Amino acid sequence: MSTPVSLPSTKTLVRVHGVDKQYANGTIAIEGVNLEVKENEFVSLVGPSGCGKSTLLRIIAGLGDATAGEVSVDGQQPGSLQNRGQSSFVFQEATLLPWRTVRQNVELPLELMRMPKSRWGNVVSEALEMVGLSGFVNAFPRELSGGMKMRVSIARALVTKPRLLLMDEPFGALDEITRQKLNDDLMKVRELTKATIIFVTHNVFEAVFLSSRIVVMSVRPGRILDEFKLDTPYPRHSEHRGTPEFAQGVNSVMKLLAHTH
Amino acid sequence: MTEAKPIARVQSTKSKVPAWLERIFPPMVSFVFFVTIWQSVILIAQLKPYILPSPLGVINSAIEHRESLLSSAWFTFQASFVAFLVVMVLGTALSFLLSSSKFIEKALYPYAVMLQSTPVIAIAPIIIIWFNIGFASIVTISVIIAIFAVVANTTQGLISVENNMQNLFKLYGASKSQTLFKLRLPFALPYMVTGWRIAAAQVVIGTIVGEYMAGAGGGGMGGLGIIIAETSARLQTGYLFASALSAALLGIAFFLMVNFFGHLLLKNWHESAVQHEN
Ligand SMILES: Nc1ncnc2c1ncn2[C@@H]1O[C@H](COP(=O)(O)OP(=O)(O)OP(=O)(O)O)[C@@H](O)[C@H]1O
Ligand SMILES: [Mg+2]
Repeated sequence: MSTPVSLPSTKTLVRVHGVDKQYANGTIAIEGVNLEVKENEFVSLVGPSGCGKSTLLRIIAGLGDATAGEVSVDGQQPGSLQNRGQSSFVFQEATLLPWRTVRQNVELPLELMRMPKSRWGNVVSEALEMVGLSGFVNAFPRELSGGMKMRVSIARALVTKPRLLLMDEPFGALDEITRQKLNDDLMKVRELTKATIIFVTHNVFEAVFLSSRIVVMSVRPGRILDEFKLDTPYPRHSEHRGTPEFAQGVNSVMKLLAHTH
Repeated sequence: MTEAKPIARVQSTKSKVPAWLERIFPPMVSFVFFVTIWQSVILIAQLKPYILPSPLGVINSAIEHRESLLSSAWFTFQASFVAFLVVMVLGTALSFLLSSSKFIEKALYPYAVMLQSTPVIAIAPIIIIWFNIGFASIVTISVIIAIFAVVANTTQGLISVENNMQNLFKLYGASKSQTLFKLRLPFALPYMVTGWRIAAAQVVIGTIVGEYMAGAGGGGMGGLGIIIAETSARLQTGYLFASALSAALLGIAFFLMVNFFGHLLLKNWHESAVQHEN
């Protein structure tokens, strides 16, 4: 039985070139950041707290502007009309609207993009099914555990069928077991959606398990110091955590990270 | 292991007392205690009824004057209701104005605080000059007293919308009206309801104060505030106590009414989101 190796496509989806970000209060969050992410890659950003990972992710999402440099997603400016719904963002908190049910929360992006209901089809149900929440469509967020809330948040991000999924420490607030379960399920989601993913995390194990490439950033002002490729083919299952390959990956990334402090 | 049984039995007998009884029992005890002390003080110190009427005297006086008490309470209720509507509409509109820009908030908020901290005694004569004695002046005074609670809470709600919720709306290119109706208003609703609840209690107080200062007297047709003013002038202390009691009951009824509608509106909200009372 041979696992099919997903050949990396050569098309670049995200291009970040010479990007600086200085906030209004004078803080220089990132400086001279260059990053190219190819279609179907899973890139994790790791680095010390406050080094500008969220800042970079928000710029790629079009939620914030770079002070200098150029950013494009699929050749377009982030946040432009053509790109709407093509990039989704998953925040560290689930950020669900508490007055809406699970289904209504997942429907929100379609409503906001003013997509006529007739064109929705099954996307909402499909997104909920992908994260294993089909039985909870009418529940309110208050009735869900932290892990389930995060699943809703991911379903909401998937509902527009984005090509790029930006995730900012999405599982940072969860316990280890729930985190591993969600990591396993994220691998399945990736298989089904073929989305390109940029993922911020502080957890080396998580980064090594999920990523095809790990990008290490320096202390503020954040620059890209180094990167590490992981060749283990997808789909990766939970057994992967027990392999020597995985342990080696963790070791190498730990060593890289030690240099940033 | 054997000790577990008696403990379990103690717990089960405890839980047999209904929750509502457990709730009203302590206030009942203090009520009986308080009324007993009240009656004893009168008997021991031989107080004259115009200094301190007895509990029974108050009840008798309430029964004797029930017609004018009822019609006055009805008048006070109507004025409170109108004032409450004005407070809701005007207060909410003002909050939208305040939260629409940092500049407007900074420019106007100090004056709202100033209005709030000016004693009504000082404003009432001006209002009476403008609107004359009667309903309009009473409602205006009540509105001035109660509006701040709505403005402060609603503005707070509108400006505390979570940052990432706003980012989410931005990400999908939400329009201004979408952001208003699908995010800001529902997010602010628990804060608004808190403001309405406080205003509900204050509007009754404000109306009675308004009646006291700007009510048209004569035959108890000017609300509870007028009865309070007249009975205190005539040293009809039993009647005065009865009208104060009516005012308290009216205030509680008004509060419970608003509270009930607030709960209906918020039934989908998490309890923790509803607890914004300071
Ligand atoms: N809106 C802002 N205004 C001013 N400074 C900001 C703003 N947002 C972030 N910063 C600063 O920019 C730097 C980078 O912040 P950022 O949130 O991107 O870091 P991060 O790598 O995501 O950190 P963490 O790992 O703690 O999430 C920090 O020093 C932060 O204090
Ligand atoms: Mg961050």
